[in-house]
Amino acid sequence: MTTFADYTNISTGLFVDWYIENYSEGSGVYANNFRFSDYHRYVEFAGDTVPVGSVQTKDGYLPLQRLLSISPSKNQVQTSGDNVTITINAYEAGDYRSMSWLRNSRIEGSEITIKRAVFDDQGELLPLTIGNPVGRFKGFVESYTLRDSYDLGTGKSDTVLTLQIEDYKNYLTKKVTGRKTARPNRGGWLTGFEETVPGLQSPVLQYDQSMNNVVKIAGAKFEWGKGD
Amino acid sequence: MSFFENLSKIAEGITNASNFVEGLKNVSIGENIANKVAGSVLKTQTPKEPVDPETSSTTVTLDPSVENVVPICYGTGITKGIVVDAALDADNQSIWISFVLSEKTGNKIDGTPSEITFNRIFIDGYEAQFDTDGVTVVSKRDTAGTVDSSINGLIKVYCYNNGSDNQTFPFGSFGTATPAYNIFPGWNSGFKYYNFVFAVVKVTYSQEKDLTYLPDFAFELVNTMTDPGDVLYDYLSSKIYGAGIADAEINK
Repeated sequence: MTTFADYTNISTGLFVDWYIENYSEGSGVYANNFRFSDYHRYVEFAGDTVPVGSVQTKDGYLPLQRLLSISPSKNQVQTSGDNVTITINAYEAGDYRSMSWLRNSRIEGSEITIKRAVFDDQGELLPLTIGNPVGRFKGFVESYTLRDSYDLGTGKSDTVLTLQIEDYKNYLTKKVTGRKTARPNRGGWLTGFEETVPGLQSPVLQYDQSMNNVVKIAGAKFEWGKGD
Repeated sequence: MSFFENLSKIAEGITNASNFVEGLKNVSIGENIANKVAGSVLKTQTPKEPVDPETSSTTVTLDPSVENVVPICYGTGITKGIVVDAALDADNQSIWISFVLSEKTGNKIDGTPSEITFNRIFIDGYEAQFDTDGVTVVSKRDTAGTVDSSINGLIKVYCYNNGSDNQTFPFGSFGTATPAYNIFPGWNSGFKYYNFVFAVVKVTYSQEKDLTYLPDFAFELVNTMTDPGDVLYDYLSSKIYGAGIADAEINK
């Protein structure tokens, strides 16, 4: 069995696959994969292909090196909620300035997969028994922040994109909360949903009045049995 | 002499309430306490005014909330449900209450629709027995088989297992289905209760039969969806109460 102890020099990198199902730069919406890593060179893993039509045409992972930082994640056998922060320092030079896609794409809910790969001193993937690369984290972007700064002295600007990512467990915990006995909640859920329910037509469900009286009767006093 | 020894000695000589209080004072347990006891024990009870059946009533308050979450019943379970609506009849003699009991669950993995039925209904912990119309309670019965018919005709329970248009009846009962919005005061066809399993109860006030309080209701539901795999699939796929994951993304 091949282990790390068999090698004198190894290097490692984190490889991020960011899948945005509803990607747009202003006109047209399509699926797109961004692939990047904190490794020092471009790497392609066997079997990885980006969807046809992606902005990123290469199947591999672009080296962002020190422009990319990824926070630590939990490492335990039992499934537990976890979150990770990815920070991308997008310096002025090159096309990194063009961030309009952030406004037009649905970033929240996009999918992040982070793998870790280990290389030998020749930059080749190590043939490890456990597999290489191995999965490290998989989750969804919960929110993101974009910070721009401009240095008046040097005339240089800097853009930092930070992604807050929740893993599947946290994501499902937030999503599986049930239906509340409240009118707005029902309306929100059912808008557009009714089309998939045979025999029920829009917009009737949207205006289901079942929960209309919940607020009205809360704390109300009913004089039950009182004669006229 | 200890406190309890004193008390037991006093107890031996009790013949009436004043004697008891004097005993307490005599053994110096505490003047203050003894005076309070005297105040309560010796107080003359004011007889209550006889209740006029024409004017007596019970003030009912309920605690619905928009923060309540609708439960989901898989397998067999007993639930008290969540109050979401209430109203009085025009003469104030009957109160109507709507309880949401469960979401209607979806299809099993093999595509078979699940179905929730009402098995037993409990009133104050006793199993309700129904008349031939399937909604009017004629009696309640305890586990030993003792039947109490004092509530005969005063309580009606209408069960719905998939919105207002789908009335069903407790196990062993039958009747003519009526949409919920045709029976509940103030409702119209907009009260669809889409995808809800719910019950409407009507309780008629009666001093004569001692039904002047709102009984405690509990409903035993039976869902045909019982297998863990089906339940997990339903929870993952439901767009209303579950994760809403697309069918294609679930490895069934």
